[in-house]
Amino acid sequence: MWIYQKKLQYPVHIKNPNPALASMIISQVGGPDGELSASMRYLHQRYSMPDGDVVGMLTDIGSEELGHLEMVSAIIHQLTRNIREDKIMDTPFAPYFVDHTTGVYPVSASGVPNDLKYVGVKGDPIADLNEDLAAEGAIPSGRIIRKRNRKKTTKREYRLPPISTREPIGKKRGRCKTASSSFRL
Amino acid sequence: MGMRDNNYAYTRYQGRRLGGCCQEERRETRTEDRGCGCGRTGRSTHGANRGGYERYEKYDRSDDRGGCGCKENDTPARSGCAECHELMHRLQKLDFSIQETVLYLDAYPDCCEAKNYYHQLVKERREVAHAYEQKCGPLCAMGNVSTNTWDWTKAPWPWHPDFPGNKKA
Repeated sequence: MWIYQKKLQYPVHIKNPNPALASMIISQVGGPDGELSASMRYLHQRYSMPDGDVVGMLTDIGSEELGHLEMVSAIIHQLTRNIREDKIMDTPFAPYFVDHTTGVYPVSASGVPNDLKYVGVKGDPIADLNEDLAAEGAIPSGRIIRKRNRKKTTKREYRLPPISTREPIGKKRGRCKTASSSFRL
Repeated sequence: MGMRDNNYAYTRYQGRRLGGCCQEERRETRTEDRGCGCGRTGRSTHGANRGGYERYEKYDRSDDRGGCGCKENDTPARSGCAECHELMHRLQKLDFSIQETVLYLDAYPDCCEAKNYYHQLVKERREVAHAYEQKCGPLCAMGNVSTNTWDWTKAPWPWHPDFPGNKKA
């Protein structure tokens, strides 16, 4: 059971639409290493895990990936919002626009609709967790894509406000009775 | 591997949970009577729904949205309201911190410091979420504060640039 929260995990406010960029970022929605594949991978691998700890972790990560899916979809939506058709037709976004206009359709940058063939669920914890490692291995390639995207964007088309996760929460922090850990938060 | 041996896994799981550094605290919560009158002592899931309903009734004020300082007839999830923007940012920070702490605790369930941090965050998050729902609109479908109007489906939705938190008010 999931409960939807009417908020994004991280704010998205894009000043200038950029359909060319959207045609690449769409791969992060529905591509082989996209957020949809990631969430489905974790959420469907849960059932054959022997240990509650692993099930819990896969549940939490899979749910968070759904939040990422919504964020990236918001980016696509805002990159293609209120844009004239003739501005789209000269860009790599044109083939996507022919099929889906400005709807957010889970598809890869090369035009393949999202497919659960991207996801491996084998009912064997070791096999499944190795598959997760392989999926994580896709991150370096994603980093390359992001780097290229950053070069393509001019100046400040992304307006993502900085978000600090380390601001002080409360004055005193409760101490653990028998804690010997030197872990610092 | 014993992957289908659920009993084995469960015992291991229980053993790990009980062997932690917060053993005494856990015993205390186990014998604690949560006071709902059903005579059961507190397990972790016990009373979860009760808390939810109580909270819902407690804050169910008919049409008082609190002093947001925004224009009248503004939509819920007030798009131009600086306070809603601030509350949403705080909520996003807190939720992000909670999410990361939860993932840490999934891997290291016996870390007391992380658990304390988690409880602090959850407490503050509850307050911020309550303030947001009172002033800016429902966060989830169960959080419709007003008994007169149905605010849950009102625009803007989070992917819109005008949603609180997305755009600087």
